[in-house]
Amino acid sequence: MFTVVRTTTNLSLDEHFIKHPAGTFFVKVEGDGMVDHGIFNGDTLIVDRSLNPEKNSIIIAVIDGELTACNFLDISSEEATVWGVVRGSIRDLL
Amino acid sequence: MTIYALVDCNNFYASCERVFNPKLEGRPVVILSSNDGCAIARSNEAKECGVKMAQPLYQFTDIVKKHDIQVLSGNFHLYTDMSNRVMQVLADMAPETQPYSIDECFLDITGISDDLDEYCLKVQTKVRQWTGIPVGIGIAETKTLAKVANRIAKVSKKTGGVLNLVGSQWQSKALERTEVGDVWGIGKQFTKKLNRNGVNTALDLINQPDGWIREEMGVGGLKTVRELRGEDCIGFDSIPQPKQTTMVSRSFGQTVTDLDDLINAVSGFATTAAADIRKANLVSSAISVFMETSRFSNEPQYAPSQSVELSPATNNTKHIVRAAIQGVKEAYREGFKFKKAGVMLLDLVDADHAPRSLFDSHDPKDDKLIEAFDAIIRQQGPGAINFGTAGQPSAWHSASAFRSPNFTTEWPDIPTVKT
Repeated sequence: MFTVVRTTTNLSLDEHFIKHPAGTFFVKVEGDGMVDHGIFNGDTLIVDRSLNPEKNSIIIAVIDGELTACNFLDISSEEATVWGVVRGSIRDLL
Repeated sequence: MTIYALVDCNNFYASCERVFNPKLEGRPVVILSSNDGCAIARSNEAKECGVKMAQPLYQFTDIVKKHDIQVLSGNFHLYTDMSNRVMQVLADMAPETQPYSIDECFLDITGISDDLDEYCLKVQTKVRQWTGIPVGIGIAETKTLAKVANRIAKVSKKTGGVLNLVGSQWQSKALERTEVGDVWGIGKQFTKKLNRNGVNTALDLINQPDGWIREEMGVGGLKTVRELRGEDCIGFDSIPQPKQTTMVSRSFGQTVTDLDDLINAVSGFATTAAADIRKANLVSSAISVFMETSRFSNEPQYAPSQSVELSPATNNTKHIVRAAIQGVKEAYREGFKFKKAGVMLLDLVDADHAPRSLFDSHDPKDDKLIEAFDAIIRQQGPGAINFGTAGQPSAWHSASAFRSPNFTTEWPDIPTVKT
């Protein structure tokens, strides 16, 4: 796997968060529907498409043509397809 | 014997747009060249609506309205980034890969012990899952046959997008289904000549005597025919140039770490590429610069690519070199030992058909300069003269009214998701 690693002694956020660069995408959250899962309006999510969702995965699904963050348990395969698995979230506190 | 697989992304530009805008799935999509001049890519649905390749937008506005076609400006930052991702997934899976254009890659799968069809289905599934891009794969004993197989794999639903012609009884069927004009390396001129002589399909072609083919189509034509007969003439390492993109790249004898050295190397590649497309009377709307560290060392790895728009479309060495340098500067990071670098000129169209815009900054003096430049290169070989690498690229204005956001390369542009 191609992994981007810095040669300096600095800790690399890429290295920490991006396990599969070719399959990793970032998306921005709009809305408060996932607050119970610790995901807030304005958060940036790290989406790893290389992963297969597990029972309790937070995923990005395509529902009615829209990218939608949701719990894998809550969707049915008739109305939604999996776009990627959410690996982490980043929130600006300032 | 080498076994080749050609992986080709289906309707690549439209597919890139669909990954981030799933509403476009199943809808006709047309991508325009820079300055929104003419159609450079079409989804299957748009082809069925009757939009032609390279057709100027004003000629098909009625069709757009009638069929509710989604018209988008080309977003080369998005396409190069997605291309890079696809190539990385392929490089992780196959023993050896050779990217051939922005959306095509040859794999050498000679050493694969699995069933080749199953292996390629896995490749197809993995590329789709990781990147969202659908691909078709053709497998054969020569590159030209792999191209034939790929073409059929993409149009025939029965194949599931993968067609293996190795030792297959389908080989002659496949050749029979392929018109000579669709054979890799046979241009319009030869197609006309062949058709006049009653040679219509690839199968007709391979049954012609060698002497006749050499006489009519030269040594290059004979090479193509021998490839169609299953004789490997091109080999894995050489790259015949594709039509819509041109690529110049080289592995360095010694690894390169210095930005100035990279700029020098890439300026040279850009100069060669520009001369190539001028010779073919083509212009390009975007250049992609790439560099990579050695995959086989334990050193830190980095394989960026950066695309820079050329607007208006151009084959002017000065503009192309400037854009290439801008690309190198943006992609470069300190501390990596680069083993290879290259440039790819994208979205090539006939210079006579290239859209000109109000903002076109064409300077007739440039033409004279380029003529002189080409003359020197012809006499003394590439590298005899180079454009100075100083100075910033001018801010070319580009009218791209329907461009999608840079979903994967700019923070403010990342897709939003609902909850």
